[in-house]
Amino acid sequence: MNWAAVFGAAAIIPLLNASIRLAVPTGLAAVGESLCQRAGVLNLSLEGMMLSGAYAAFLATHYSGQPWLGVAAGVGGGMFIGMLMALFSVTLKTEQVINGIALVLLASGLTSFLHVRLFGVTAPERFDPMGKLEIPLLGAIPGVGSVVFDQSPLVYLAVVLIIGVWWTLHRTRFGLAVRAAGDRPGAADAAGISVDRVRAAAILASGAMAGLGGAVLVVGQLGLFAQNVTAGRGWVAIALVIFGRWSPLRVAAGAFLFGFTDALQLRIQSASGGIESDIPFEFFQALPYLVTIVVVVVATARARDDAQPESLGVPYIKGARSS
Amino acid sequence: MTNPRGDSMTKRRMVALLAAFVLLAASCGDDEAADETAPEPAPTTAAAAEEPAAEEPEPAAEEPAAEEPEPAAEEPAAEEPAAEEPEPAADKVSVAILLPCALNDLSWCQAAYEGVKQLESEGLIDLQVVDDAPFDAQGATRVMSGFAEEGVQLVIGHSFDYGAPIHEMAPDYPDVKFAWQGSCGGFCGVEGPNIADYFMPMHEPAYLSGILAGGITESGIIGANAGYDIPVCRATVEAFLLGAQEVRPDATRLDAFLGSWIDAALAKEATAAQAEQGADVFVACGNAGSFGMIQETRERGLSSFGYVYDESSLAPDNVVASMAWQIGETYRQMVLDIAADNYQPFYDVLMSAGGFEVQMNPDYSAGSVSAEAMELFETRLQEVIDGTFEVPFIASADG
Repeated sequence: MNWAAVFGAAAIIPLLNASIRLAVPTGLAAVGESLCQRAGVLNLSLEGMMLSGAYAAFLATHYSGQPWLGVAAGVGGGMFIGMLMALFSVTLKTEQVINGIALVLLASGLTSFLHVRLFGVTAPERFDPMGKLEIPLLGAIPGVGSVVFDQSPLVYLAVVLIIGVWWTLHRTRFGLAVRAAGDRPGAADAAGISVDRVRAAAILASGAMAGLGGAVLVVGQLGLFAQNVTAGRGWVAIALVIFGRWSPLRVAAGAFLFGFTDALQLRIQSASGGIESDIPFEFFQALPYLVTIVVVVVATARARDDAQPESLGVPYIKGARSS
Repeated sequence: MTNPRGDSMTKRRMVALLAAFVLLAASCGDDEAADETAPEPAPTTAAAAEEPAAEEPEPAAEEPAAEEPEPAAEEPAAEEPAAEEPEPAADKVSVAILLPCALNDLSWCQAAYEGVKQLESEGLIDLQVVDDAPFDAQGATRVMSGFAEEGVQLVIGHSFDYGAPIHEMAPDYPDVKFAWQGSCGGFCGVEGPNIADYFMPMHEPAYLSGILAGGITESGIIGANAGYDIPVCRATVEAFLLGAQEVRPDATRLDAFLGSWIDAALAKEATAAQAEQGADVFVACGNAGSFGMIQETRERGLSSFGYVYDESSLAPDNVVASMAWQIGETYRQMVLDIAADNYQPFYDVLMSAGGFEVQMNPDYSAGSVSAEAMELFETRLQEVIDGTFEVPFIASADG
């Protein structure tokens, strides 16, 4: 096999670029989910949020011709599912796992249905995806420059948001309220924090980020919508939250690792003889998951504290003794 | 509650279980997502499944919604039936088809949909369509047995995955004919007197497209992506390379399997990876695979081929040609055979019978097909249509 085609000097930068492209949609959703879970809500609707965001972004860009409007709509599309999730899980206090899965099914059915009803049996409309934004001077640095400073503007936005979530969670009053709502909602309540409001806000934030993740796929990469275009990234994102042990930065690192392994496996498959290769292709597909699982096991075994929010998945009912 | 510690233990165990589930769900990748497609249609499918039931007596009412957006497909219809309508009107074959994707997917399902609509417009069949049909065996069985109970004469499951449920249920409905897209020819264990497997002879147009690719490529490297390692996809990419090698004996191919029929973004990355390794002409086996591939070739100014349906609108400069499956021809034979009480176990409607076409894209400009390749293409095309040239169907590593 031609390893130089995968790891050669000329191949490394494209490999890192591809890793970032693969990591960003999932990473955005995963970091949003980590915030949501820190507030105590196990939001399994993530895939639905992404898909809804992807479709809203497609529609807005298609009808307005403005990719940034599409990005905004993507955020809105994710928050739409977030509103429903908050309504069921926070206001009505029904089982979070069921709500989440139901909303994924809703988003999948609704987007497919709308796509056929709106566009019929005509060619799916497409548009040019958003271009790259090279940051002046920095982008010209050989090597590093083109990886770090010559990306889609959505990548920079993602980085800012991810750091923003970390900052919010660990350095602000609201972040403290979120963590309290997730660990000891009763104590938070006694301290005058509205657990319901905090949780609803966290779900909406998670919806916004997942919706943006979906928008990145459609507006930033593909320029079209296809049925279930998010292809399971929301589920991967939920796994990444556990991987990152509920810390936004570790979750983001996990997303990058996953994207990197995926970019790598595609390159190894291509360079190693593809269908003529003796290694079954399923091995390559499993690679990102295997690597992630191994890292989770190692990280969990080494960790001393239990990072999981104590009231994760438990609806908070005021006055009822929960924990 | 009385034992907070025990309570939190239970919770923890539940979350651990859930984590395991999520990891599993994630690692199944879009199988899981495909399963989402399965239950997902709950709203859509329920509606679609109800529609025919409720409106069966007057299918006219069901159609308008689906039809209005595509007057184009409807028009040729309006002309032809004039000649054919008189006789079959009385004994139309009733057909129900399950399409596991969207009618406007510009690929797999759209090709099948337009195929059956053509037969309907010719007055050959009474048609019921379920789009976004359940992909899981249980859901598919529910929908298909509904049609079978109703007495539909031919139930078509347009996916490899419908083979198993059809195999299970077909004996219960001996008067109903079933068809699935297996491309197996009797080797997949799905069989019965009322079951037909229909073949997707994509290796033929792939070989011919490969000849064009051989005349385009400068690097001599072809990029290929496929959803899964299934016989049709193998045969497609193998034939494509063989075709290319007729023109460029030194041509090689880079392959990537995606493990998904729906992950367009991953396919786009696979194409990028192959382009970085030198590939300059691309072929895909899978809906989303072709979308992602075509978009990447558009961005890089490279060349690609459309999958199953005319996909040139996705990148008018970059799509050389599309391998367009004329599935209607396969369905037509089934319907005629049912009318004649002569249903076959296997339908392989090849290019010689109009089963597939290579539709050239006149706007293609990203590269140019060498004169030598073009000439060879024309020759082989004619030979394949005449049946004098047989494209090998290489479905496994051993050939």
